[in-house]
Amino acid sequence: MPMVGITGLDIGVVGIGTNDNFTYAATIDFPSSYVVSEIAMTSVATTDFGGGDSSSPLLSIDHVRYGIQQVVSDGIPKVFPNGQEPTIDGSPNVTSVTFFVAKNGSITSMARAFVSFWE
Amino acid sequence: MYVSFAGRPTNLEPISVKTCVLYDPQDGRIAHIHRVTSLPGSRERSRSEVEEIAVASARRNHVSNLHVLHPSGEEFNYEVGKRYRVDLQRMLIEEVPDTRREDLRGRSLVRNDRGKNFLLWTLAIVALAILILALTRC
Repeated sequence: MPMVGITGLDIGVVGIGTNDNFTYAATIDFPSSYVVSEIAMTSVATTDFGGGDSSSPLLSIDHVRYGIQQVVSDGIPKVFPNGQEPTIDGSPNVTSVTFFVAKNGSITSMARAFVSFWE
Repeated sequence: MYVSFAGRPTNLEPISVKTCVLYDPQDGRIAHIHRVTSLPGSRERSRSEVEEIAVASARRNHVSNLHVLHPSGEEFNYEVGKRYRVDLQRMLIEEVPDTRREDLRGRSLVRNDRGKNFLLWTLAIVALAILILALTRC
Protein backbone atom coordinates (compact mmCIF):
# COMPACT_ATOMS: atom_id res chain seq x y z
CA MET A 1 0.00 0.00 0.00
CA PRO A 2 1.75 3.22 -1.08
CA MET A 3 1.84 6.12 1.26
CA VAL A 4 -0.21 9.01 -0.07
CA GLY A 5 1.39 11.60 2.09
CA ILE A 6 1.71 13.10 5.48
CA THR A 7 0.03 16.31 6.37
CA GLY A 8 1.59 18.35 9.08
CA LEU A 9 -0.52 21.07 10.60
CA ASP A 10 1.22 23.55 12.82
CA ILE A 11 -1.33 24.71 15.31
CA GLY A 12 -0.38 27.84 17.09
CA VAL A 13 -2.25 29.28 19.99
CA VAL A 14 -2.21 33.02 19.54
CA GLY A 15 -1.94 35.10 22.66
CA ILE A 16 -5.07 37.19 22.64
CA GLY A 17 -4.84 38.84 26.00
CA THR A 18 -3.44 38.37 29.44
CA ASN A 19 -5.25 35.67 31.34
CA ASP A 20 -7.72 35.13 28.53
CA ASN A 21 -9.11 31.73 27.83
CA PHE A 22 -8.66 30.88 24.22
CA THR A 23 -9.19 27.82 22.08
CA TYR A 24 -8.01 26.93 18.63
CA ALA A 25 -9.22 24.00 16.59
CA ALA A 26 -8.10 22.66 13.24
CA THR A 27 -10.13 20.20 11.24
CA ILE A 28 -8.73 18.25 8.33
CA ASP A 29 -11.11 16.52 5.91
CA PHE A 30 -9.89 13.87 3.49
CA PRO A 31 -11.47 11.30 1.15
CA SER A 32 -12.71 7.97 2.46
CA SER A 33 -10.28 6.19 0.10
CA TYR A 34 -7.43 7.26 2.36
CA VAL A 35 -6.55 4.97 5.22
CA VAL A 36 -5.23 6.78 8.22
CA SER A 37 -1.95 5.29 9.31
CA GLU A 38 -1.32 7.63 12.18
CA ILE A 39 -2.78 10.59 13.99
CA ALA A 40 -0.60 12.36 16.47
CA MET A 41 -0.16 15.65 18.17
CA THR A 42 3.07 16.80 19.71
CA SER A 43 4.35 19.92 21.36
CA VAL A 44 6.71 22.12 19.41
CA ALA A 45 7.43 25.13 21.56
CA THR A 46 6.05 27.44 24.12
CA THR A 47 7.04 31.04 24.05
CA ASP A 48 6.35 33.89 26.36
CA PHE A 49 6.21 37.32 24.84
CA GLY A 50 8.78 38.84 27.12
CA GLY A 51 11.75 36.69 26.22
CA GLY A 52 13.18 34.22 28.69
CA ASP A 53 12.82 30.52 28.21
CA SER A 54 11.32 29.84 24.82
CA SER A 55 11.98 26.15 24.69
CA SER A 56 9.82 24.86 27.52
CA PRO A 57 8.03 21.73 26.48
CA LEU A 58 4.33 22.30 26.06
CA LEU A 59 3.40 19.48 28.37
CA SER A 60 5.09 21.10 31.31
CA ILE A 61 2.87 24.15 31.11
CA ASP A 62 -0.28 23.83 33.13
CA HIS A 63 -2.09 26.53 31.18
CA VAL A 64 -2.31 24.59 27.94
CA ARG A 65 -4.11 21.43 27.02
CA TYR A 66 -4.21 19.97 23.59
CA GLY A 67 -5.30 16.84 21.85
CA ILE A 68 -7.63 15.28 19.34
CA GLN A 69 -11.13 16.61 19.79
CA GLN A 70 -13.15 14.71 17.25
CA VAL A 71 -12.81 11.95 14.68
CA VAL A 72 -15.46 11.26 12.03
CA SER A 73 -15.59 7.56 11.21
CA ASP A 74 -18.25 6.04 8.94
CA GLY A 75 -19.87 9.46 8.91
CA ILE A 76 -20.35 9.39 12.67
CA PRO A 77 -18.52 11.98 14.76
CA LYS A 78 -16.82 10.67 17.86
CA VAL A 79 -15.86 13.27 20.44
CA PHE A 80 -12.89 12.89 22.73
CA PRO A 81 -13.57 15.48 25.42
CA ASN A 82 -10.55 14.72 27.54
CA GLY A 83 -8.05 14.91 24.73
CA GLN A 84 -7.15 11.24 24.81
CA GLU A 85 -5.56 9.91 21.64
CA PRO A 86 -7.97 7.62 19.81
CA THR A 87 -6.68 4.35 18.43
CA ILE A 88 -7.72 4.52 14.81
CA ASP A 89 -4.49 3.45 13.13
CA GLY A 90 -5.27 1.57 9.96
CA SER A 91 -8.95 2.44 10.08
CA PRO A 92 -10.31 2.76 6.53
CA ASN A 93 -13.41 4.76 7.41
CA VAL A 94 -12.06 7.90 8.99
CA THR A 95 -12.72 11.03 6.93
CA SER A 96 -12.13 13.89 9.33
CA VAL A 97 -9.97 14.69 12.33
CA THR A 98 -10.22 17.76 14.54
CA PHE A 99 -7.36 18.85 16.78
CA PHE A 100 -7.54 21.48 19.45
CA VAL A 101 -5.32 23.60 21.63
CA ALA A 102 -6.73 25.47 24.59
CA LYS A 103 -4.96 27.97 26.75
CA ASN A 104 -5.77 29.69 29.98
CA GLY A 105 -3.36 32.45 30.68
CA SER A 106 -0.91 34.74 29.01
CA ILE A 107 0.91 32.19 26.99
CA THR A 108 1.68 31.43 23.39
CA SER A 109 2.32 27.90 22.38
CA MET A 110 2.52 25.71 19.37
CA ALA A 111 1.59 22.13 18.81
CA ARG A 112 2.04 20.15 15.65
CA ALA A 113 -0.67 17.79 14.50
CA PHE A 114 -0.03 15.01 12.04
CA VAL A 115 -2.24 12.79 9.98
CA SER A 116 -0.59 10.32 7.64
CA PHE A 117 -2.52 8.39 5.03
CA TRP A 118 -2.23 5.26 2.94
CA GLU A 119 -4.23 4.59 -0.19
CA MET B 1 -1.33 27.48 10.83
CA TYR B 2 0.36 26.21 7.76
CA VAL B 3 -0.02 22.89 6.05
CA SER B 4 3.07 21.14 4.81
CA PHE B 5 3.43 17.85 3.04
CA ALA B 6 6.05 15.17 3.02
CA GLY B 7 6.28 11.76 1.44
CA ARG B 8 5.38 10.80 -2.13
CA PRO B 9 3.42 11.75 -4.05
CA THR B 10 2.92 15.23 -2.69
CA ASN B 11 -0.42 15.91 -4.31
CA LEU B 12 -2.21 16.82 -1.13
CA GLU B 13 -2.61 20.51 -1.79
CA PRO B 14 -5.82 21.48 0.02
CA ILE B 15 -8.81 22.42 -2.10
CA SER B 16 -9.95 24.87 0.51
CA VAL B 17 -8.97 26.34 3.87
CA LYS B 18 -11.77 28.11 5.71
CA THR B 19 -11.48 29.98 8.99
CA CYS B 20 -14.15 30.97 11.47
CA VAL B 21 -13.40 33.34 14.33
CA LEU B 22 -15.65 33.62 17.39
CA TYR B 23 -15.26 36.85 19.32
CA ASP B 24 -16.76 38.74 22.22
CA PRO B 25 -19.07 41.47 20.83
CA GLN B 26 -18.32 43.69 23.85
CA ASP B 27 -14.62 44.17 23.26
CA GLY B 28 -13.61 42.21 20.16
CA ARG B 29 -11.65 39.66 22.18
CA ILE B 30 -11.13 36.48 20.16
CA ALA B 31 -12.21 33.39 22.08
CA HIS B 32 -12.04 30.67 19.48
CA ILE B 33 -10.59 30.10 16.03
CA HIS B 34 -11.55 27.11 13.94
CA ARG B 35 -9.78 26.36 10.69
CA VAL B 36 -11.01 23.65 8.33
CA THR B 37 -8.68 22.22 5.68
CA SER B 38 -10.21 20.08 2.94
CA LEU B 39 -7.99 17.76 0.92
CA PRO B 40 -8.76 16.77 -2.69
CA GLY B 41 -11.48 14.15 -2.85
CA SER B 42 -13.20 15.31 0.29
CA ARG B 43 -16.36 17.37 0.29
CA GLU B 44 -15.65 21.05 0.60
CA ARG B 45 -17.46 22.52 3.60
CA SER B 46 -19.73 25.51 3.26
CA ARG B 47 -19.27 28.64 5.35
CA SER B 48 -22.30 27.78 7.47
CA GLU B 49 -20.96 24.27 8.12
CA VAL B 50 -17.62 25.68 9.25
CA GLU B 51 -19.49 28.11 11.50
CA GLU B 52 -21.57 25.30 12.94
CA ILE B 53 -18.56 23.18 13.87
CA ALA B 54 -16.74 26.23 15.25
CA VAL B 55 -19.67 27.08 17.53
CA ALA B 56 -20.01 23.44 18.62
CA SER B 57 -16.29 23.27 19.30
CA ALA B 58 -16.39 26.48 21.35
CA ARG B 59 -19.39 25.22 23.34
CA ARG B 60 -17.47 22.05 24.11
CA ASN B 61 -14.88 24.30 25.69
CA HIS B 62 -17.57 26.13 27.67
CA VAL B 63 -17.47 29.26 25.55
CA SER B 64 -20.74 30.87 24.48
CA ASN B 65 -22.41 34.24 23.71
CA LEU B 66 -19.93 34.96 20.98
CA HIS B 67 -20.28 36.51 17.54
CA VAL B 68 -18.95 35.04 14.32
CA LEU B 69 -16.52 36.39 11.74
CA HIS B 70 -15.37 34.62 8.57
CA PRO B 71 -12.04 36.14 7.58
CA SER B 72 -10.47 35.10 4.32
CA GLY B 73 -6.96 33.69 4.31
CA GLU B 74 -5.59 36.98 3.03
CA GLU B 75 -7.30 38.89 5.83
CA PHE B 76 -6.07 36.68 8.62
CA ASN B 77 -2.77 34.93 8.24
CA TYR B 78 -1.85 35.24 11.84
CA GLU B 79 1.60 34.77 13.23
CA VAL B 80 2.14 32.73 16.34
CA GLY B 81 3.27 34.97 19.16
CA LYS B 82 1.26 37.98 18.08
CA ARG B 83 -2.03 39.02 19.61
CA TYR B 84 -5.18 39.81 17.72
CA ARG B 85 -8.69 41.03 18.28
CA VAL B 86 -11.68 41.99 16.15
CA ASP B 87 -12.00 45.68 15.35
CA LEU B 88 -15.71 46.11 16.03
CA GLN B 89 -16.02 49.21 13.83
CA ARG B 90 -14.45 47.79 10.70
CA MET B 91 -15.21 44.12 11.46
CA LEU B 92 -11.63 43.19 10.68
CA ILE B 93 -9.02 41.35 12.69
CA GLU B 94 -6.26 43.60 13.93
CA GLU B 95 -3.04 43.04 15.80
CA VAL B 96 -3.00 44.16 19.42
CA PRO B 97 0.19 45.71 20.79
CA ASP B 98 1.58 43.72 23.69
CA THR B 99 1.09 45.77 26.85
CA ARG B 100 1.67 42.98 29.32
CA ARG B 101 3.94 43.82 32.21
CA GLU B 102 4.74 40.31 33.37
CA ASP B 103 5.91 37.14 31.68
CA LEU B 104 4.74 33.59 32.33
CA ARG B 105 6.56 33.32 35.63
CA GLY B 106 5.29 36.66 36.86
CA ARG B 107 8.61 38.42 36.17
CA SER B 108 8.32 42.04 35.22
CA LEU B 109 8.80 42.79 31.53
CA VAL B 110 9.43 46.44 32.35
CA ARG B 111 13.15 47.03 32.47
CA ASN B 112 14.23 47.68 36.03
CA ASP B 113 17.65 49.37 36.11
CA ARG B 114 17.72 50.24 39.82
CA GLY B 115 19.65 47.11 40.85
CA LYS B 116 22.04 47.45 37.93
CA ASN B 117 22.73 51.13 38.73
CA PHE B 118 23.40 50.34 42.39
CA LEU B 119 25.99 47.72 41.40
CA LEU B 120 27.70 50.09 38.98
CA TRP B 121 27.91 52.87 41.57
CA THR B 122 29.30 50.47 44.18
CA LEU B 123 31.98 49.25 41.74
CA ALA B 124 32.87 52.83 40.81
CA ILE B 125 33.26 53.84 44.47
CA VAL B 126 35.40 50.79 45.24
CA ALA B 127 37.60 51.49 42.19
CA LEU B 128 37.96 55.11 43.23
CA ALA B 129 38.88 54.09 46.77
CA ILE B 130 41.54 51.70 45.46
CA LEU B 131 42.91 54.42 43.19
CA ILE B 132 43.10 56.94 46.05
CA LEU B 133 44.77 54.35 48.29
CA ALA B 134 47.30 53.52 45.59
CA LEU B 135 48.08 57.22 45.00
CA THR B 136 48.53 57.98 48.72
CA ARG B 137 51.01 55.10 49.03
CA CYS B 138 53.06 56.40 46.14
